[in-house]
Amino acid sequence: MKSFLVKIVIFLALLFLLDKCFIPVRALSSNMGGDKKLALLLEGKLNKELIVVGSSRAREGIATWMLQDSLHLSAYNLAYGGSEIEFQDFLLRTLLLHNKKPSTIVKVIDEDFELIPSEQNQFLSDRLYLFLKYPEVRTEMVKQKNKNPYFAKLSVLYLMNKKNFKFWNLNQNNTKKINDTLMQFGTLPESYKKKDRDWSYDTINQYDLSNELPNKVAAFENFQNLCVQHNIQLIYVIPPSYYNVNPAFVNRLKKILYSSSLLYIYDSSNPAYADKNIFNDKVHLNKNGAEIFTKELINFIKNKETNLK
Amino acid sequence: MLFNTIDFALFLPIVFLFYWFVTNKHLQLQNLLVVVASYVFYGWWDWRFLSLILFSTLVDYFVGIQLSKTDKKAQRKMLLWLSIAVNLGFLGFFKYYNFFLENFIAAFSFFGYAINANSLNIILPVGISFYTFQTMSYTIDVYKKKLEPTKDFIAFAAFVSFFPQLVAGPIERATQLLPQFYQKRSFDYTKAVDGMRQILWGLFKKIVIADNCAEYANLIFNNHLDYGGSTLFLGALFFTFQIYGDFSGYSDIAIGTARLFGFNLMQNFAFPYFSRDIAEFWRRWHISLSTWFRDYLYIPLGGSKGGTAMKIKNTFIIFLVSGFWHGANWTFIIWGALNALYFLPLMLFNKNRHHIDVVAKGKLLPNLKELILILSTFIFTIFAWIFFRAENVSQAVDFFTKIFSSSFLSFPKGKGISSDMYYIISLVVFFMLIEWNNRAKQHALENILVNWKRPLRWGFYLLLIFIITLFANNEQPFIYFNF
Repeated sequence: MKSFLVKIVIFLALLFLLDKCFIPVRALSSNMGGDKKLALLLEGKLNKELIVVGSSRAREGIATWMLQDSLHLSAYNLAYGGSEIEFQDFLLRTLLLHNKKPSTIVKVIDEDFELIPSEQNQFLSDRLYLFLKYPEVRTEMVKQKNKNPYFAKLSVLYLMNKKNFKFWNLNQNNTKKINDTLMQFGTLPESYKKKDRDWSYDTINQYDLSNELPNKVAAFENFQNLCVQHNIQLIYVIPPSYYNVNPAFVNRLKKILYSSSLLYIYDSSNPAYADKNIFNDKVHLNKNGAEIFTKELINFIKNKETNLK
Repeated sequence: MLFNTIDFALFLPIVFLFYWFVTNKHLQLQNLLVVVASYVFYGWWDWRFLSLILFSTLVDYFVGIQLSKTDKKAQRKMLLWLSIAVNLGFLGFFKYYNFFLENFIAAFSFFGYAINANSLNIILPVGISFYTFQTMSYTIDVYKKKLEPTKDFIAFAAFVSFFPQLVAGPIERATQLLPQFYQKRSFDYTKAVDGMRQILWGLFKKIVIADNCAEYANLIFNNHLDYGGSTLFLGALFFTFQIYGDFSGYSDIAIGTARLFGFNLMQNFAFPYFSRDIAEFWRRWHISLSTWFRDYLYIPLGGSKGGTAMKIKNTFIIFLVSGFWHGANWTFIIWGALNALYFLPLMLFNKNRHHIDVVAKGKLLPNLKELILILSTFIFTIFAWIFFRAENVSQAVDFFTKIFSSSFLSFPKGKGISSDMYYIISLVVFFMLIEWNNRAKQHALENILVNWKRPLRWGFYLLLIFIITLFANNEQPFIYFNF
């Protein structure tokens, strides 16, 4: 028994030492061609006055260059397709930690599943593996992947995965290789043709509060709190879709919005939005659609007494 | 509690130290510790269902005692049926209630009778199919006078709830496991080290092979309409390795853990994917369940002693019941029926015991004939697993339709099929090579590298741990927890 226990202890000690040898690998991982917007964010190179946050509806529904030109503010679209509010909350926290605070944030809402579970929109933890050298990323991974926090402190390998070992991608310096547009405005709307698009016109008038996830509601609240604490003007936006906005969801949203936040819902009386040709699919605008809607949004912002310049 | 969690990594050494250093002087105390640890292990998931295990234990304990007190046939039979009714009653209610209800409603509506009955929102207690079969084996063996009923309640409770194999087997026989609780256990260094190796290999199978194959198997099965025949076949192939890695990995961890505490559990998987025919496959796959059905169902039904009709009937019964044991879904029943169809020709032509020994014994590689037999058996198995994994029969039929179409000849592609897939394939190849190399052993790491110097041996273990850690990011529950 004694010999067994002694060998187990020696083996564990060896394992502990070996584990520590991976600290340089973790540090080098951020040069393995990871997400470029995240790299800018974590390296403190995202010092813009207006930031757009949201999922694919923010990426495809907002023409960021128009916001910059019309509002005379440097603007950046930090939207991530398939992301949900907890991820966006993490982005905001990281933005404030490493970069100059923006004066305005445009947050695009994913009606109706902003606060309820959705298969399409998730916490994009896969994008964070290459940035584990940042303590705040590690903390977030522990939370999102339901990892043991003590073990995460003890072991380097515990949070890493195979992405951290793609050594053939090493020295792909993230920021150097970013093309000019991505560097300047972030993601931009695209026009593409999707096969078998469903254009049926839905009307939903129900919203079940019991489906809401407490984590998402807490992240939504935290997002607003951060904006209030840092004196950032928060503008919530619901861009056009090829169906009616759910009034039950809008009522719910209005109840949790802070008085300092603004909410802009697209003008459904605008006949342009009845045209399928400005949409990629039922929920995503294409480039033309994004330009029409952004013009509307600019008018809204200009006509409101906000803290914009 | 799951084996592949930090919780278990902390739980195991604590119980180990208490077992060997605090309670080692008193057998009763040691058995009591096993019971307490097992209840904590199970209650970690949902403590409410501990009452089911306790009730099942009490019923079978008292039935055993009463069986020893009477020789009257009618009374003994009644006691046996009491135990079977309680155990199968729990199983029937928790596992099959909704299935029967829905099928009754469908059958009656087919004949024009509308029945209004609501299905219940029932949680399936983890491991219920395993521990009920284990306790039933006790009562049946006592009834058949193959085993003396125990008067030691603690030992019996430890036998029913023994945490390493409580939730997913191996389904131990009372004749094999119960006597081990009566004897004083002493720590055996060689056994403990081998147990550790088996745990390590089980974790590799589960975390690296099963969980990563699951990622692609789930993607392809859940979006089967979007893929061509070759991609669907690839999905079925991934599932084939997923289910093997998942279930045999669990068994390896269970057996290895039991060895740390001085117990010997039966081998549950004997490298089934190297089988040369389906009969050999069933002698090597989930051995504890196959032999349970053989001893308590097939042989009492007459086995293969009767005429051809009886043989066919009994073969179908055992495979259909085995399919139904896995879950309340027609897909499992068809999976069972398909295996019966594979098995029947072998039995009818008396070839079902043709391949008893290990394939290519003493050789490095199989010969061409053996290779062809292994591959053809493997492909038949993959086809059967399609029914096992499919959500419903129509999904499985769609799978087959596409696999047997021209799209099978195209290169696998589609949404989510990335180059990461090659990582998994190369790990599966590595895994199968290790398994092939040790196919005559109890488990794939038994005696591996024992003649090597310690640095090399430990280096190999560290490499496995390194791979396990890197691939441990898609934690999935064990498939057999659903059964």
